[in-house]
Amino acid sequence: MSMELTLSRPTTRRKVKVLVAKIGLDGHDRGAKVIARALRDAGFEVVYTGLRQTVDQVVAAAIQEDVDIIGVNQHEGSHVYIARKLLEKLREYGADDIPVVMGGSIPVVDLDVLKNIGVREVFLPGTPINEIVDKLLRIAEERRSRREV
Amino acid sequence: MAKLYSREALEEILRAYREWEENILPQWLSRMPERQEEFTTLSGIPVKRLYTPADLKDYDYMEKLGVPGAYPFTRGIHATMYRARLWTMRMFSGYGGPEETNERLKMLIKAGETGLSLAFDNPTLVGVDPDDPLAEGAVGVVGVSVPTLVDMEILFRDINLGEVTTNMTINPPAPVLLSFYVAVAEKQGVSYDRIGGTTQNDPLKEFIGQKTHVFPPEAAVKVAMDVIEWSVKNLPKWNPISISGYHIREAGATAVQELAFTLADGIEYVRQLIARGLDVDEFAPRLSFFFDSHINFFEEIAKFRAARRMWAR
Amino acid sequence: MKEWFGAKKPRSLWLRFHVQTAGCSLYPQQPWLNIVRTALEALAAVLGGCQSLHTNAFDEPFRVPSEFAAKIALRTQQIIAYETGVADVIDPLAGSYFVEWLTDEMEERAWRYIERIESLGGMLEAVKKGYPQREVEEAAYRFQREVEEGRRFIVGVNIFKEEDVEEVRRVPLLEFNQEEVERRQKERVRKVRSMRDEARWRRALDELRGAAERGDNIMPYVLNAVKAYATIGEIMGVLKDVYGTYVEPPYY
Repeated sequence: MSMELTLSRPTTRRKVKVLVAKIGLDGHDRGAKVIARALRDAGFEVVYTGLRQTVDQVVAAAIQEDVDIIGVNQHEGSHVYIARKLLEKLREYGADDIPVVMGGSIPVVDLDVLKNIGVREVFLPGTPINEIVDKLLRIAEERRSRREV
Repeated sequence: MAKLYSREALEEILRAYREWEENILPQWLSRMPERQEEFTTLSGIPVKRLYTPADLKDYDYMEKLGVPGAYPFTRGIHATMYRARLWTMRMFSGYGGPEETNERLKMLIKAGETGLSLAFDNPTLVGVDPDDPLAEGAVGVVGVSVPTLVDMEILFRDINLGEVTTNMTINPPAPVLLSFYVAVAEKQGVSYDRIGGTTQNDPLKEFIGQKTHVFPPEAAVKVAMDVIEWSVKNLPKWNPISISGYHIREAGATAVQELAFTLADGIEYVRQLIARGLDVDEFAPRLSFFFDSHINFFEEIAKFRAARRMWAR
Repeated sequence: MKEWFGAKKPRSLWLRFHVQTAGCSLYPQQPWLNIVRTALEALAAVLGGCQSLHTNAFDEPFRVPSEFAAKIALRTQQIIAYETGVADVIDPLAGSYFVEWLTDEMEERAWRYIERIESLGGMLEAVKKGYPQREVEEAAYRFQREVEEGRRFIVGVNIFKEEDVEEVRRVPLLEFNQEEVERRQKERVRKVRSMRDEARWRRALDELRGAAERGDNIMPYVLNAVKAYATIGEIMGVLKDVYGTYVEPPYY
C-alpha cells in the first residue's frame, strides 16, 4: 500500500527525506540503524547522523539537508529532555515546521507528554515498518502541501 | 574413550525412528499439520521435532562432557557447583548521584543480593565531567554519576569493600574507576589482597555494541591490557576484564555470533597479554566473561555449555 | 586455552561468567510481561551454570528500575534458587539428546565464525575492518524482518496486542529530580577542583601524560592522579590528547 503512495506521485517530485538522529551519549544504535535501512528500502532518502550528536548538530543537519522529517531514536531515559531541547532549538532557528518523530523503548505513560511537547508521532518497538512508512509519508505530504501554499 | 551408544542400539533406534517417520507421523501430520513449516532457534538453527541417540551417534561422554570441575568443563567449572554455593545474585544498579545509589545498594543488600554491580551514567561511561557540555541532561540518568574520588567514597559509605565484590560496567575509563575503587578501599583500611570484583574493561566489543568507546581500537586495547597487567600483579582477587557477549547480542547478534565473537575477543586479549611477556597461567585465571540470556530457552543453555567447552580447549 | 595457548593450570581453563537476562527481549507494551520473560531467561542461565546473574527489572527497557521492580527481579532469582530444586543437581540437562546435539551444533557454528576471524588476522583486525559490526547489523535487520513478516512472535507486540491498557498508567516508575542531581554533581566537581592541592594535581597529570606518551603502563599514574583528586574528565582528557578519539563512521 505504501509503495503505491510513493509511485502515484508525479515523478518530478523528489523522495521523502528523513534524518535519523542519535542525540547525546546513548550508544544504542540498533534501532536507528534498522529503521534507517528499512526506510531506505521502502524508498525514502535517509541521512543517518551517527552517534553522539548534539541538538545543534541535528538541527543544522536537518536544515542543511532540507529534510522532510526528523526521526530521533532514543534508548532510555532522556527522551523527554531531548525532545524538549530539540523542539526548542528548531523554534530558535525558525525551523520548527520540520516535523519530529521519535522511536525507541519509551514508557507508554510518556507518549502524551511527548505529543504535548510537539513530537508528531512516537513509535514503540515492534511497530510494523509499513505503519511507520505510512505515517511518515502522510506527515511529509501534509508539510509539503502546507509549504506550497 | 566412553562412547555412549553401541552400534546395535543405534541401528535399532534409527530403524524405529525411520519407521515412525514413514508409518506413524504421516497420519498425524495430515490430521493435524504442524504450527509452522520450519522451526528454528533465534539463531536460525533448524530444530527437528524429535531427537534421539541417533543424533548423537559416536558421542563420547568423557571427551564431550566429563565431570564438573575437570576438562573439558562442559558440565560446570566447579565440582560441586550450586550445591555448595549458589550463583552470585548481582543486580546491576545505579542512578542519580552517589547518595541515591548508595541507598539503592544498601536496599538490595538487605533484600538479599550477594554481589554488587554498578551502572554508571553516560558521562561517566565516556569519561566526561558533569559540567562538560556533552553531559547536559545525561547526568545520573542511566546510571550513577561518579566523576571524582569523593563521589566514590560517598557511593560506598557504610559498605566495607573487604566484604563485598563489585562489578563495574565501565570500559574506556576503567583505569579511573578501578583507581577510585582501590583508593576508597585503601581509605577503608582494606588490603589489596582482599579487594574483589570486576571491571568490564572490554574495548573490542565497544565497537560492535554498547558503543561507549573513546579511544581508537589499538589504543583502547592497550589501555585495557594495562589494567589487566597491573591488576594481575597487584589485586589477586580482582577480575580486570569481563569479556562480554551481552552487548554484542543486544546490538542484534544471534546466539551463535555472540558465542563466537566473545570467544574471539578473548583469544585476541590472550594474545595481546602473551605478547607483553606475561605467562598465560599468570593471567588466565583472572579472565572472566559476560553473556546474555535470551528468550529461546534451550539455545541459551546450549550456548553456555558450548562456551565452557570451547574456551577450555 | 589448553590447545591453542598451552595453559596448564586448571583455573586457566575455566570460563567463569556473569549473565544478564536480555534487555532487548523486553518491551514497554504490557511491561509486567517482562517479569515472565526474565524469569525464563534466568532459569536458562542457571541451567547453563553461570557464576553470577543479573535479572532485569520489568521497567528496565525504558527506565532505571524502580525499587519495586528491582526487588521482583531479585526475588525471581531467589525463587529459582530456593524453590525450584533446579540448583540441587549439577548440569541436570546433560544427556538430553536435543540439548547435547544443540550444544555441539552451536560449537561447530561458532568455530566457523572464529576461523573466519582468524583468517582476517584476529579480532582486533576484524573489528577495524568492520566485519563483526556488519554481521551484527545484518542479524538485527533479519530479526526485524522476521518479526514484521510474522515469522517470529512477541506476545503483546505482534501477537495478542492490547491497545491502551489502563494498568500501564498505574505501574510505579522511578522518579527522581535529574536537574537537582546534575546541579549537585556539578557543584561537587567544582568544589573538588577548588579544594585540591593544585601543584600535586598538575604534577600527577603531567606524569600520566608522560607515561602514556612513552607507552608505559598507565595504571599507577592514573591511581596517583585519582588520589590527587583529578576528575574523570581531566584524566580521560589527557589520555584523549595522547591516544586520539574514535569517531564512528555513520554507515547503516
